[in-house]
Formats: sequence, structure tokens, C-alpha cells
Amino acid sequence: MGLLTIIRKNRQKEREMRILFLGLDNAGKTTILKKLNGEDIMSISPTLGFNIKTFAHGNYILNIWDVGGQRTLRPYWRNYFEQTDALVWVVDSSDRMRMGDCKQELHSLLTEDRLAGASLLVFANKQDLQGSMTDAEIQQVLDLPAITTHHWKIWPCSAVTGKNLVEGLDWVVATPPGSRAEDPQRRGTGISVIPEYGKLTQMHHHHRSPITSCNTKRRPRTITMSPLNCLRTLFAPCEYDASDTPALFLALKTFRLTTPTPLIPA
Amino acid sequence: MDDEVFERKLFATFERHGEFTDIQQSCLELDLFENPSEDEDLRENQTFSKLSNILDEYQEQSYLLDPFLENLVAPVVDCLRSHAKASIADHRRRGSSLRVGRLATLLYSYVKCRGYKTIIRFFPHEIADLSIALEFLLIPDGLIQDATQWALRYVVLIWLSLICMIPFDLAQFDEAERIGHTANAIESSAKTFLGKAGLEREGAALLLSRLYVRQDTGTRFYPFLVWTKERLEAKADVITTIGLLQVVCEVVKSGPADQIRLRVSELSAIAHVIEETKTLLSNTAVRKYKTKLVSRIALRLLPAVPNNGRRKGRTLAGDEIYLDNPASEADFEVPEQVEHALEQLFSALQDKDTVVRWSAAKGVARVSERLPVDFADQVLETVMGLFAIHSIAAASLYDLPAIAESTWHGACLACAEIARRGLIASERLPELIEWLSKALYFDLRKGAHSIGSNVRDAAAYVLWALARTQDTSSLKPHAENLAQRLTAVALYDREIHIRRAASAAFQEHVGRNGLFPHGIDVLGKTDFYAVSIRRNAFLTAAPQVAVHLEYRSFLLNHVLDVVLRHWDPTMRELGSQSLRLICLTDLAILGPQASAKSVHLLDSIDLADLHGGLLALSEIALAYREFGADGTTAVRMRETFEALSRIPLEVVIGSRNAVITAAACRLISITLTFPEMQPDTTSVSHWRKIVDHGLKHRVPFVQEAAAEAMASMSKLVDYLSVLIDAFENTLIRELKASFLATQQSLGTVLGGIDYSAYPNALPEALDCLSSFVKPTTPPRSTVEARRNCYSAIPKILLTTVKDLPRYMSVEVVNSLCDILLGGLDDYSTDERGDVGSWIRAACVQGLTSFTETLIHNSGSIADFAGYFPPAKFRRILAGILKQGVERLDNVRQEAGVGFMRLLALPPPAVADPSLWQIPGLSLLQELFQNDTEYVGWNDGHWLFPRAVRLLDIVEYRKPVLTGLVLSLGSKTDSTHRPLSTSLISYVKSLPLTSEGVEYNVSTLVEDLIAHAKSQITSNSVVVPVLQTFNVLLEGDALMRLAANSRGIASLEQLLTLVTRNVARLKSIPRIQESMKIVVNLLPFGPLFDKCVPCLPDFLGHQFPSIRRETAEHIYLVLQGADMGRDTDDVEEVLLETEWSSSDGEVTKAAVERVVALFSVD
Repeated sequence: MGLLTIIRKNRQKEREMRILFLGLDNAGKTTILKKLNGEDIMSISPTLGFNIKTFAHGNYILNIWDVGGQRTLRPYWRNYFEQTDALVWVVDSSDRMRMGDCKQELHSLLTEDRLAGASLLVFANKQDLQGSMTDAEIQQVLDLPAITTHHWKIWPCSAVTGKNLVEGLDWVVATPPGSRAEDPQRRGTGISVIPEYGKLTQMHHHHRSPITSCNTKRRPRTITMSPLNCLRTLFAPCEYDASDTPALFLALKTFRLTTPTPLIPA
Repeated sequence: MDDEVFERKLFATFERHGEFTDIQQSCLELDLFENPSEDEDLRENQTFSKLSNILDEYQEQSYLLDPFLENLVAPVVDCLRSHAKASIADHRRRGSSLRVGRLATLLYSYVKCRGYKTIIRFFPHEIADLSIALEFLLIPDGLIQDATQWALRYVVLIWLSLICMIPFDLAQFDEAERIGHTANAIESSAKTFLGKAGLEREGAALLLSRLYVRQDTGTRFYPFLVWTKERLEAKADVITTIGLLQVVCEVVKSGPADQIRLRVSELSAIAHVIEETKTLLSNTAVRKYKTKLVSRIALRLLPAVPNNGRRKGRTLAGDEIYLDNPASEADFEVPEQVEHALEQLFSALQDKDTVVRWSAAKGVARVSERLPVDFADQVLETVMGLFAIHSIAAASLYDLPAIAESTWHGACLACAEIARRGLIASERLPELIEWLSKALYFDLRKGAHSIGSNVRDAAAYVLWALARTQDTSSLKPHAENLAQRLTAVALYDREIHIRRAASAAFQEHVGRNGLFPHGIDVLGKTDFYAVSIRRNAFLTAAPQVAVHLEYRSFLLNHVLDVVLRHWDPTMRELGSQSLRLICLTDLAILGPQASAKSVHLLDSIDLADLHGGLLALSEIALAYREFGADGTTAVRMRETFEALSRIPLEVVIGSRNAVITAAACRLISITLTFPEMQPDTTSVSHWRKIVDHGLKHRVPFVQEAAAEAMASMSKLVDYLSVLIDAFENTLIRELKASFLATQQSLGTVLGGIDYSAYPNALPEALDCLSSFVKPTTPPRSTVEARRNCYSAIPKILLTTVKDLPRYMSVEVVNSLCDILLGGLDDYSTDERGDVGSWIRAACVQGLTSFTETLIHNSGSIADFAGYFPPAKFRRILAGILKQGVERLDNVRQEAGVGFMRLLALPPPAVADPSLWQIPGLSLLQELFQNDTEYVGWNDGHWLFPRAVRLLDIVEYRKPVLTGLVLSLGSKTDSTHRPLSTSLISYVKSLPLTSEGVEYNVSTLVEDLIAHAKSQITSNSVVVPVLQTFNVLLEGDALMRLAANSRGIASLEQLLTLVTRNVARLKSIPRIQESMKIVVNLLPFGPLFDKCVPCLPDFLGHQFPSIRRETAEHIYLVLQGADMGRDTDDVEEVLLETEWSSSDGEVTKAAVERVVALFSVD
């Protein structure tokens, strides 16, 4: 296995994430998944066991493990911790009675060493129901601000209407490196100006332009011009001379500055 | 030279998805309980191999399958599941081992392609599945127990391992009185597979590890550990040990920390037992798993929360984010076991096997990640210390012992893994980079090759990782050094993957840090493709990079210090050429520098250095010749020439020093000057001896170099005596008499000499050439020598054509042309096969350039028609065309290229150019100059449909027909098959008879018969003609001949030809072909009665095989052709007689019976 193999594997692994969906029973974990996957959500029964779903989200392949939340199943959650990049904790916002239970389960999960480095997304589900708690309330009840070991974020959402589901996953894949799982191969960088070594250059080889594509591990969502196009514009002619070099880095610098920082809890 | 680049096809998507689904669907529809018949089995097997072949194509890019996998794998698993269910329901029903085996192997192919972790996701894992999979595995005497069904067992085991993740107490599956039964069953059956050498072991290990990390069955892990230790202490075999270790490693990796920490002493004891058992330790896989175990134990002893404050994944998209992690700030006590584990990992880093080093490197880095900063820094220090182990005693990098390779590789890998995790403090960088600078050049000569490319690759890996994790500011002081070194390796490494690895590391630095001088520009010149081909990297990319001053002298010195001294001669050769190109960027300054350093190489005792030095000096001299300033060039030439005196003569001409002799000859040929040729002014008194030695050398490339030196001598016009000396006194006579291998240089020398200075030498040279190629038996010269002589002829013409009459008369030129034409008939063979083809190919080339030379200079040759008569031109065309339709692909290709060049020639600049008009030009252009369809003359399927139409042109008819017949007689299927088809349809398209020059069937047949008759005793001529007839007869192309008397007469002649003296023929092929013709002529009504009396000659032949074949062939013809009579009786006799019987009476009676039956009516 040489460097080129490592680079190739690295590219591939950076595009995959393993996400664990947990939460109390009847929180709506399976429903959220089915909604995201475009399946029928009318006839969902309690999950007896676990589901594995794989789907593409933007540039990512997400492997989602959804485990039932009944009390009897909870001791077995730890079977699924291995190699987890992100934990999605689903809360039934209308179930005020069990919030304490919910808080306790969540906080005990976070002490687990195999989840170290996974980011935490809390879905405050069932916002469509009258009288459900707001995300701000849930944040307090679950004592989220006390969490310092994981990156976390709470999103109010509704599995029935689909509100904020995609946005939540967007946050998951955009969570910065360093907080991801311990495997360094998962720790990618932001927008890299590096084309996939040897691969993309081949397609555009006749241009002889060294930089022809970008690996947008972290997709920027607010810039109007993709970095790829920035660079293409810069390098459009086949021949360029050294005087272009400062221009490129200037462009990249500007680009870096104008890109918003990912949402971090205050 | 040997730098072939093989690139696997790159796919963009799973292109064959549709096809794949369809084939798979057909496989799934089969009844798994039904045994296929033999035919079905064959078909199903083919279908199945199609599937696995498609998957194999995607092995390198298996992720492309991802979007389709769920729909592909799920149906296969379903099929397996329902089969398992049906098998459990009725144990007596046993599945077809072939079909079930293929189904399981298909699933295994998916796993092989994409990995079990991905494929397993598509297996069902409902509660009911547990009992299905488990019971299926346990069916007594079931199919799954069959030794051949390893794939089935593997698939079911990994399926069970997934099901084992269900979040329910396994006890719920047990009947009330048998609590623990299910878990017991899983555990005990999985354990039985742990000692299997096949894949089942891996499946079972996975299953057990899943079982042991469960909440309810975790308690079984401790007994398992105890059992494992007992087994190991009781000298378990290697395979079982691997199985046990796989389970333990997996549990330690993914089990709950509290449970692992409880068992640390047992786990360490297991590692210890292995450490103590020599037989186990000698196995690579055991050492690998032991290393994994040790590092994982250490990992689980350390706090898991990563120390984020230190870990800076640099991003362009956003600011770096630091987690407020109080735990990381507090130092903690590092358990003693961790230190002990690290010690073991450090020694594993130096293991002799790569996989173990890899495991250790990852282990070291993962452990460091969890250690306090100071401790991690010590780890890095220790790892870097490994570089020094073997370096203390060694004077330079190249003096290291071979064992240093594994140490350096392990150290580089560990540094890379540590760097990748961002654990390298900037204070450590200078030391690390210093070691890496050496590691990038790590190349230890070992016998005829070298070791260390893995170290260079790993060094590139470290630099790549540093680019990704280190601060720009801390890299800044090293930027220029790294840029230069990475570029040098990217351009000048011997191995393609190292050049690419260095180029990738360079790219990473440019993209992330932007510190490298002219980074983007240089990257463009040294990207993945630019460095792929060694020649391109050396000769194109390197001079482009050398444009930048920052890189120029570094590259120059790298070539001089490393490449020119490389152990591989081809590296030195390319390196010297690259050196010249770099020098050209600033010859006035770089030239003297490079010369001075190269001259020093000549003082070395290492032959590689001498060779490199000579090559470099030659190339620098060449640069001066081409671009040197006036006035200085001559001085430089003499200086360079003088350097030759530094090498003792006995070294230059020493045996086995061929490359040095050749390099010295080349240096002489480039730098020879007039004063150096004079005995009293020369600085290298022995230079003539080198050239003479080279001329007589047995190796062709030395001869060529020496011949070049001779040629440059002859160009120094004043030096008549050399040529006189050469021709009148020694050279030719010496060469003629000398050892056969050295004769080869004769042609090379004679072809290279510049005759303008001494035209009187020419006749003797030509005499010598023609006497050399004259066909004699046994040949007095080797094939190679003759080939070189033939090749010399057009070269001589080229050097003399400007003033042709001064050198050669009309007769001489014509005779030269005849010599070349004669070479086309050289069909000599020896133990190497058709070696005559080298001569024929050389003559095809020779005739082409001969013609080109004359026609291009036609304006200046007074008696052009005399020197190059139109008839000769047509003979050349016809001769080349004949070669162009013959058997050997490469000769045909050579002829095709030559013929295309002739077609493109302008008409000669003479009064009546139409005389040299190419016959059939318009047809030729239509056939061969249609660019859109041009494939190549080597491809029979393209060529022969066109080639047969050449018979239309009367001038080429006879030679082309001869060539075609020869090809048809060949055994090469790729020639024979397309030619037969083309010829049959061509003959069918011909008219029966015709007026004028248009070809017709009757004439064709007469031509063929005449050709055979011309050498009736030569089997090599007659048999191909007979084969041609059989092809035509069996292709029904000659039926029309029976229509007129001329045709019948021809066929009768043919019959006579093949039936005369059959008993006396000795060549089996000739008897067979003759027999076939007689039988094939039976359906021709008017000939029937003449054929029948000839049949006994073959049907009753003394050779049993001929008798049998004749009978078979008659039967086939009777079946296929309409004979106009009832032949059932004959057929019966043919079928019922034992033709190969040794009882002469039996066959004799049968023959009589056949003839009698044929004669009835």
C-alpha cells in the first residue's frame, strides 16, 4: 500500500459517514429516516431491533443506524457505538413527562468512550403538534449547554412535515474536523484546492492545468461562485505564467474569508 | 526502456449495471433444490463467471457500485434466506451443491469486491432471522457441512454476526428449560471454525466477537480468554492461533471499555504467550495480530476523549475550532502497560514484513494521540531514533546495511501516521525533515537490483501528511528544501509510483501552504501524467522545471550525484540526456560545472560511475556542438576527449564492460577532432584500440557505437589514411574472418561511413557487402550480419546520391537494387524460427528508402531512367506487396508502412514521369488510403478483404497470388481465417472467363496449377497451392468451372497433379491435401468417373490415418453435396468399416466395395 493508495482510500472514506440515530421510544427516529428517504410514513410500528439505511446526501454517503428506543433495548445501544461519526438524538417534543428520562439517557451516552469525537445533533421532533416544547426549552431541559465534550446543535423539526430534517443533516456533514471520530482518515479538511490526485487531472489533462477541480469535503453553501469555477476562471487558458500565482492565492484567501464559519453553539 | 505504463481502465460509473442485473436475475430464478444437468451446469457456470468477471472489473473502484448495491445484493440474500428456510423445514431436502454454491459464491464476490462491512448491511436482521441462520448452519449432514461449501459457511457466519447485533436478550430465544442454549449453539459452532484455513475462520471470528461485546453474553468473553490461553499454551497450530487472535483483537477494539479494562492482564498474557512461542512468531499474520492486540490494549487503557486542543485539522472553509475539553488539560498517569506496549510496537516497527510494520505504525500513532503531550513527544523522538540505528556506522546513505530498509520504512510509516494526526510539534520538524530528506533517496543496491522504494514512498507519505497538518509558518523554513527534493524525486526516481507519490506530496504542499517557489507552475510540469513515463519526466518535465533558478542547480546536482551513478544503466542513459537538456538552459555556466563533476566520476572504481561519467561528458559535448559559442567548442571537445585518458584501457575494453566500451566509443564519435587523431598530438593514445575493440565486439549496441565513431572519423575529411587503412589493409579482411557475431558490425560500419572523402573505397565496400549477402549453403554469415549489410545499402545510397555518378555507375546501382530484391526471398529458418523475416523486413525498409532517395533526387540524376528503370520500380512495388500479404503480422505491417510511403511519393522530376506511374494507383488509393478505415496491415481482418483485390492489377498478380497462397498454407489462424473468407468471396465475384487483362476464375486456376507445377517436387510450394484449392473447393467457389471445357481441362490437370505417384509421397500434409482434392472433385459431374478410380490410392493407403481420414472426408462430401445419385450404400460401407484396422483384407474388400458401388449406374 503506497501513498497513492492511501490518497485514494482517503478520498473515499472522507465521503462516508456513519450516523447513529438514538432516542427514547416513540421519538420518531424511524419516521424521520423514512421521511428523509421519501418513504411512506403512515404505517410505522415501533422498531423491534434496528434498521440500517444508506443514502446519498450531497457529496456524502450516509450510513444510518437506527436502533429501537424501548427501555429493554437501551442496554444494547452500545452494540452500535463503534466507528460512529455523528449521534443524532431524537426527542419527542410533546412528551414533557419523559424529558428527565430523556436527559439522563443522553448524558449517560455521552460518557461512552467509543462515542468520543462524534458530533451530536438533537432533533426536537414533532414541532407540528400543538403544545410541544420549543427547541430553546428542550435545550434547557436537556441541559445541553453543559455538554463540552461534543459539538452539539439542536434543530426543531417535524418528521411529518419534513421541516428542518435536511438542514439538520447538513449540519451533521458540515461539522468541522477535529470533532469527528477518532479515525484520522475521517478528518478531512475544508475546501481543498487539491484535485483528486491523478484522477481528475486525467480527464482534463489536455488543458495541462494543474488545478482542475476541487474536493469539496465541506460544501460551502453561501458562496455564489464555486471554488471550482473560481479556479477555472483563473486557469481557463492553458498557459499561464508565474504572475498568476499571487492571483490564485489572493483569490483563495478572499474565498476563505467570505465563507461563513459553520454554526457553532454559542 | 522498460518503463511501460499500465493503467487500469478508469470508470466513471457502474456502466454494466443493467447487464449485470439481468444476468443476476436469471441466476436467481433457478430452483436451488434441483440439480442441474451437465449442460445446464455448464451454462450456469458461464453465466456466473460473467457476473464475477464484471465485479472483478470494478475491484479497484468498487465504490461506484454503492448506489446500486442495495438493489443488487438484497435479492440474492433473499434467495439465500428462503433457501435456508426451506432447508430447515425439511432436513431431507438437500439443495443442489452446484447452484447453492454459486449463489453463496456470488455473495462472496460482492464481499470481495466491496468489503463485508458494506455488504453485510443488506442482509436481513429481523428476530426471525436468528433461528433461520443458526438452524441452517447446524443442519446435521446438511449441504453447509460439505467441504466445498466454504463460501456458504462464510456468508451464513457473517450474516449471523449481523443478526447478533439485535438488541434483545438472546435468552428470549431459548426454551424455558434450556436457558443459554442459543448463545451456546452460536458460540460452540463458531468455535469449530476458528481452526479452519479458509474464510470460514474470518466469519466465525467476527461472529464470536459480536457475541462477546453483547450486554448479555459478554460474560462469556472471560472463559473464552482462558480457553484461548490454554489453547495457545498447548501449542495450537498457526491457523487456530490466527482465528483466536482475530476474535480477541476485534473484541478489544469494539468492546465496552470497562469490560476490556477488567481483562487487561489476561489479554497481555495472551500476547506474552505468543511472544514466547517461536513457531507462532515466525508467521507474519500471527505477528500482525499480536501487534494489533498490543496496541489496542494500550489504546483502551488510555482515556478516549481526543485531545482536540492540539489537533488542528486545518480548513480553508472555516476557522479552526477548538473544543473546550477540560480533560485534555489535566495530565494523567500513563499506565505502565502502555509503556511496555509501546516498546513492543517500536520493535514491531522494524519487523521484516510490511504488514506488521504497518500495524505497528498505526498503533504507535493511535496510542500517541491519547497520550499527554510530553509523552507523545517522547514517542516521536524514539521513532526518529530508529533512523539513526543503522546510520551511526555508515558513512553515507548508500552504505547502510540491507536490514536498514525495514527499520527506515517502519520509522517513516510511524512518522507519517503521527504526522497525519497532527501530533508533531514544530520544534521537531527540523530533525524530522532532515531524516526525510535522506529517506526520499533511500536506495540500497542489492545484487542486480535495489531495495528501498517502499522507504521512499513512505517518506513521501510523511511529507504529504505534514502538508495537511502542519502550520504554514512552521513549514516555511523548510519550504525550499522540500520543494527541491520532492521535485527531484518526482522527476528522477526510477519507479513510476515513487515519482507519482512525490508529485502528490508536492501538490499537497502547493495546494495547502503555497510556500513552494513557483509551486503552481512546477506542479503543472510535474503532475501525475507528466511524471508517469520516465522518458517524459527526464527529458520533458525536468528541463521545464529547470527554467526556474530555484530548482535548476539542485536538479543538476541531483542528476550528477544520484542519477548518473544509479545502478540501472537505462537510468544513467536517460539521466545523461536529461543533464544535457538542463545544461542547455544556461550552457555557458552549467556546461563547465557539469563537465567538471562528470570528469570526477571517471576516477571512480565503480563501473556505474564510469559509465555515467562518460555518458554525461558525451551529452555535454553534444550540447556544445549544437549550441556552443564559436571558438570555444573545439577547446571543449578536446578537453572532453582528454578525459577519456582517465580510465585505463583495460577497464574500457574489459570483458563484461560492454556498456563502458559503448559509452567510450560514443564519446569518441562526438568529441573526435583532427588534432586528436594525430598520433603526435593526441591526448588519448589508445583511442583507436577502443574503437577497434568495439567494432569486433559481440554485442550489437557496442558495434553500433563503434561504427558511429568510424563514421565521425571518416567525416574529418583530411584523414584519408583511416579509410585506406580500413579498406585496403585490415578492417574488412579482419571482419570477414572473425567470429560470426562480430561480423554484424560490418554492415553498420560500411553503412555509416562518409564516402565523399574517398570514393575509391566504395567499390570495395560494395563488393564486400554483396559477397556477404550472397546466398550460399551453408551461409557464410549470420542472419544478423546479412540484415545489417542489407540495411547498409540504402544508407550508402543516401550518402552518395547528391553526386551519384561520381560514386556509382548505373550498373552498380541496379545491382544494389537487385540485391535488396533478392533479400525479399530470404526464408531462412533456424532454431529461432523464421529469422529470414528480419532480412525481408530490412529489405522492405531498404527498398522503400532506396526508392524514396532516388525519386527525391531524380532532378539531379542525369540518367535517371538508367539508374532506376521503371520496370525495377514495378518489381519493387510488387515485391513489397507480396510481403504485405504474407503470414507474419509484423512483416506485413512493415511492408504496409513502406508501401504507403511509396504511394505518397511525388512523380520523379524527369521528362516523362508517367513511366514511373504506379500501376493500379486509383484502386490502391481506394483500398489503402481511405483514412477513416485505416487499421494496419498487421490486422488480417482489415487487410485481406482488400489484399485479394490486388489480384485485379495484372502487374502485381503473380507475386500477390504467391504471397496469398503462402499465407493460406500457414497454420496461423488469424491469417488463415480472414484470408480464406476473403479469397472465396473474391473468386466468386470473378467472371468465369474474360477478355483482356481482367482476372477470371479460369486463369486463376491455371495460374495456381502453373505455380505448383513450377516446383512440383517442393512440398513447401505445392502443399499451399493444394490447400488453396481445397479452401476454394470447399467454399463452393469453383463449381462454375465444370461449365466449360477449359475449366474441366484445368480441373483434370489438377486431378493428375494430385494422383500421380501417391504411394511414393512421403509428406503427410501433401497426401492429405491431395486426398481432399480428389474427394472434393467428386461432385463435379464430368470428373466423377475419373476421380473414383483414384480413390483406392487413398482409401487403401498404407497409412491407417490416411485411410480413416479419406473415409471420413468422402462421407462428409457425400453428406454435403448433391451427387445426383443414391449414395446410401456407400455411406454405410464407409461408416461400418474399421478403416484404421491393421487387417489389410478387411480394408481392401471395403475399398473394392466402395469403388464398385460408385461405379454402378
